[in-house]
Amino acid sequence: MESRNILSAKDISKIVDGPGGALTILHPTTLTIDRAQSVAIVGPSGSGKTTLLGLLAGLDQPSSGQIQLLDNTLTEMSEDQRAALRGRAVGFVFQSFHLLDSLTALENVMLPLELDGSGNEQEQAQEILTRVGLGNRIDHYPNQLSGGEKQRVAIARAYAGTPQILFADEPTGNLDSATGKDITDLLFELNQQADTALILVTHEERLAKRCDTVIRLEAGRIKADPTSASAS
Amino acid sequence: MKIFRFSLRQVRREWRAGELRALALALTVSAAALTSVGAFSERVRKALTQGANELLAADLVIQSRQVVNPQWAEEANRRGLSSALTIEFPTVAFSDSGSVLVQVKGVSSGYPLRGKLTLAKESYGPTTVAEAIPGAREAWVDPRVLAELGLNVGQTMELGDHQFAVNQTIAFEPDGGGGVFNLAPRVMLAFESIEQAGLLGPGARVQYRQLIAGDPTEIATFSRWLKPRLSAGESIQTLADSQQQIGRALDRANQFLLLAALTAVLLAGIAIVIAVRQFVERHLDTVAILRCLGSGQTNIICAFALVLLWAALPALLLGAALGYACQHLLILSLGDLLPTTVPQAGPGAVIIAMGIGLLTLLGYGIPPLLRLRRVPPVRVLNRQMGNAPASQFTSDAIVVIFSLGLIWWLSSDIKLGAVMAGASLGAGLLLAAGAFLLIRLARRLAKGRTLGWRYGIANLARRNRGVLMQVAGLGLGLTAIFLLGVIQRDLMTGWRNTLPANAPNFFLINVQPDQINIIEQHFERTQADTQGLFPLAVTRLTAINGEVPNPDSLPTPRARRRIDGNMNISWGNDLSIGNTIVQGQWQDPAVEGPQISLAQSWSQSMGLTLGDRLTFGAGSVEITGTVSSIRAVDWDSFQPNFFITFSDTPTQTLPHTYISSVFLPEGQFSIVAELVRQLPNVSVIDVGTLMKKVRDMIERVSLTVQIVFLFTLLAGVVVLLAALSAGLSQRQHEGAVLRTLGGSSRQLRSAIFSEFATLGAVAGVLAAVAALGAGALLAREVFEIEYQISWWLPALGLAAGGLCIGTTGLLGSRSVLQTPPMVTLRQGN
Repeated sequence: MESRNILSAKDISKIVDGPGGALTILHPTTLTIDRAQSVAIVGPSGSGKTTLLGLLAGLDQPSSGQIQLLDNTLTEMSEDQRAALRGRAVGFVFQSFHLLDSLTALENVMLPLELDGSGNEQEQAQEILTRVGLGNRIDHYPNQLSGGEKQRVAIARAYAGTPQILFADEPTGNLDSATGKDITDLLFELNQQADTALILVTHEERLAKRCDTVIRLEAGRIKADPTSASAS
Repeated sequence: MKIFRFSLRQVRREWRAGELRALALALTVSAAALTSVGAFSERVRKALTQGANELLAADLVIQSRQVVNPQWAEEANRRGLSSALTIEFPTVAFSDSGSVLVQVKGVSSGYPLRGKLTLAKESYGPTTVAEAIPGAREAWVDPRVLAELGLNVGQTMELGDHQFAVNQTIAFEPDGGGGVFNLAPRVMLAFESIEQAGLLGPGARVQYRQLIAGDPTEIATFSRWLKPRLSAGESIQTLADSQQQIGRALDRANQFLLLAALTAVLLAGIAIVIAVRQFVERHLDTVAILRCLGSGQTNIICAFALVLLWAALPALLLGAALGYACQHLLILSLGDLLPTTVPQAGPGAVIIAMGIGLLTLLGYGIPPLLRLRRVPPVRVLNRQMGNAPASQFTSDAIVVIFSLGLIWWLSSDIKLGAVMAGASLGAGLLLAAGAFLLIRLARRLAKGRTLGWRYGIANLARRNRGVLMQVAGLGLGLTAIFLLGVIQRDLMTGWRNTLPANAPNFFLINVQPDQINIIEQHFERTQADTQGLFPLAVTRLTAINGEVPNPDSLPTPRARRRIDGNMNISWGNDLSIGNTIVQGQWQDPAVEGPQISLAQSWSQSMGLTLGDRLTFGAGSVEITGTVSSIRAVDWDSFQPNFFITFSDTPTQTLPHTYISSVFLPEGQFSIVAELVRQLPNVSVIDVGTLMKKVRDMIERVSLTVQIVFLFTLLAGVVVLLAALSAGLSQRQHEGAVLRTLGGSSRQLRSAIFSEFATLGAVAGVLAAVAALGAGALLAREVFEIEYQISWWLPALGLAAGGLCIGTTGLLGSRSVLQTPPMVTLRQGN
C-alpha cells in the first residue's frame, strides 16, 4: 500500500554561528505530513517558523537530523538534486511574492514549466493565470500589478508545475484583509482541486484555523502537539 | 541631519556592504593609471627632450648672421644659465698636396653644453669624449678633410694665414646633423683662433650661434624674456627647426602619450558612472526612509556625495602612490633606452592625477547621484515608486558634456581632441544603437534554444536599461582594449614605416653635369639602391608676379628669412618619390612657359597659390615660371626633396650641380669611397648616423608608449569588471528564485553564460568597428601615417568578446550560483 506520508522530518535542528557563539534557531524537531494535508506553522517572530519551512522545503540544510520528502532523503542530496526535486514536485508562495521584475506575469508563470522542460508551457501558464483570475493581465509586468494580483501570479506559478506539496511563507502577510481572504480562498481551492499538501507559515489565526493541522513554535521548539500531523 | 557625521558613519557601513569597495577600486586603478601615465610620460618627455637637446648641443640657441648681441649671454649667465658661442662659415683648407672646401666651426669654452663631442686619434679609430675645446693653433677635423688633403693626424694644414696642427678627428659632433645640403667637411677650431687667423674676411658667409643651457624653467623664462628683444637678424632656433625628424618623433610621442592618458581618464569616468549608478540603485530605499525621517533632498545628495568623497580620497591617494611606484618600475624596465640620469617627475603628476580624479568623480559620479533627489518618501510604502526608469537624459547629457570638456582640456592638441571627442561620441552612439537592436531582437534570438540559453538571451530583452549600460560600458572598455592592444601596434608599425629600412644613408652633392654619366654607370655597375641624380641650382627669389618681393608683406619671420637667403631649386620631368600633387597638375597643358611645383608648406608660408609667377636668379641668369601645382612632400622619406621644382627642364641655363642619394647596406660603403677617389670634388654626406639616431628615437619612444598603453589597458579592464558586476544583486535574487523553482546549476550557468556571451559578442564586434574607425581617424588626422586596417578585428571582437565576456561574466557571477535559495524566504522583494 502506498505510504500516506509525503514529508517526514526526524530530529532536525538548525544551529548558526552568531556574534555570541553558536545559536540554536531550531531545536531537534520531528514531524510527519500526509498527502493532501494542510499544515499551518504559527508562532511569534523569531520562533523559527521560516527556518523550519526552509528546511522542510529543502531550501536549506539542517545542522542535524534527516528529512524525507516524497521518498527522497533531502539531507543526503546535493543542492542540484534538491532543486530538481523542487522543480518536479514542490511549489512556493512567498510573502513578498518574489516575482522576477523583468518578466511578465505570463513569463513568471512559465518559468517553472520551462525549467522542467514539460513543453506547452505558454498554454499551461495562460490557463492557470485565467484560473486565478488574471487572464487579462498576462502581459503585465510585476510593477504594473497590485499586491493581490502579484500574489495571484505567484500562486499561479506555484501551481503551474502541478506540485504535490506547496510551501507558503506568510502568503497574506503583505495584503489587506479582504485581498488576503481572496488569496486564502484561492490557495485552499487550488489545494483541494490539485490534491496538494499545503504547508504554510502564518501569523493569522484565521488562516491557521482553516488548516488541518497547526504546529505552534516558540523559541525554536514545538509547543503543542498537533491534532492530525504527528510532531514532537 | 548632521551630514558630515552621517556620511562618515555611512561610509563605514557601506564599506562592509562591499559596494563602495568597487567604486574605490575603480578610482584607485584610474588614479594609478593617471599618475603613472602622467609621471612616466613627464619623465620620458624630459629625458627625450634632454636627448633631443643633445642634438642642438644646448637647450636654446640664438642664431644670427651677425655677432649675437653679447647682452643675451650676460643675461643668461646672470640667470644662472650656462652659455657658449659657436661660429660657422665655409672656407678653403690647404695642404701641400691639395685643397678642400671646409665648414669651419669656432667654439668657445664649454661647448657643447648638451651632448658629447667624440674624437678619434685616427680616422674612424677608437673614440674618446672631448673634455675641452681645441687649443690655440689646433684643429679637429672630419676624416674626409684628411683624405682630401692627404694628411694624417699630427700633420698641419693651412687655414687663412695660419698653420693648424690636426691633432684629432671628429667622430661625432652633436649639433652637426642639420642642414645636410650645406655640409662641407668640418674643421673645428677654438673661437679665439678664428680672428687670429684672419679667417673672417668681408663678405664671409658666417653663422653665429649663442648656445644656452640650464634649468628648464629658467630656460623657458629666459626664452620669454628674450623673444621680444631679439633684433631682426636674430632668431631662436628650436628643436623643430634644427632637427625636423627628431621634432616630429617627439610630437608623435606626445600625441601617443596624450592619447593614452586621455583614454585612461575617460575609462575611469565610465567606471565611475557604472559604479555610482549601482550605488544609487541600492540606496533608493535608504533615501526614501531618510526622506520619511525628515531629511531634505539637498541634504541627502550632499550626504551621499560626501560618502563617495570619503571613499574616493583614500582610493585616490593609494592609486597615486601605486602609480608613482609603478612609473619608477617602468623607467627601470626601460634600462639604457633612456639616458642614465632620467629627470625626476615633479609632484605635478600626483597633484594633477588627484585633481582629475576628484573632477572625474564630480563629473561622472554626481550626475547619476542626482537621481536620488527624485526618490519620493512614499517609496517606503510602495517600493515601485521612484524605481521607474525616469529619464536619465539630464544626467547622461552632463556626463557627455563633461567628457567633451575633459577631452578638450586635456588634449592640448586641438586635432587630437576633436578626433577623440568624435571617436568617443561615434563609439557611444554605435554601441547605443547596437544595444537597442539587441534588446529588440533578443526575444527572436532566444527562440528554439535550450532553456538556459533561451532564458539568458531573453533576459537581455527584459533588462533594457541595464543592457544599454552594459553594452556601452563593455563596448567602450573593449574599444579601448582593441584600440590599445591592436590598433596602437598598427599605428606604431605605420610610424616605424615612415622611415623605410632602405632610406638612403649617403648623399652625394656637388656633382658636376659632366660627371653624371660616370656616377650613373658606377651605380649601375655596383647595383646601388638610388633614386638617381637631381639637378640643384642655388638661386635667389628675385620677383613674385613681376614685383620684387617685399619681406615686410610676408606673414612669418621664416618666410621673410627665405626671401633673404638662397633657395635650392630643382627640375625634372617626373614627380619624385614621396611627393603627391594636392592642387593643380604636375604638367598643366593650359599653362604657358615653365611650370613650377611648390611644396605645400612652402607655398603656405609664402602665401603663394596656383597661377603665381616666380622669378629666380643665379648670377646673371634669371628664369620665370608659373606655379602649376602644389605638392605634399613626405620629408620623412629622406629622399632628396625640394621646396621648389620646375616640372620640366627649362632651367638648364642656370648654373647648377647635381645631388643624389643612395642606400648602401653595411659593408658596402666602399662603393661610395671608390667613387669619391675617382671624383674628388664630389662631397659625400653620411646621413646614416642621423638616420640611426632618428630610428633609435622612434624605437625608444614606441616602446615607452606601448608600456604606457598597458596602464590604459588596465583601466579598460576595470571598466569591463564594473560593467560585468552591474546588476549582480538582481542576478543573485533571480538565481535564488530560479533555484527555488527547481533550476539546476547547469541551467543557471548556461543562462548566465549565454546572457554575457551575447552581450560580449555584440559589444565586441561593435567595439572592434569603433576601434577601427578611431584608429583610421587617428592615423589620418592626427598622426598622418599610413594605416593598414585590420579587417579581421570585428571577427576577433565577436569571438573574443563572446568567449571572454561570457566566461568572465560567469566567473564574476559565482555568487549567483552560490546564493542559497533560502534567501528567497529571508529577503524581501
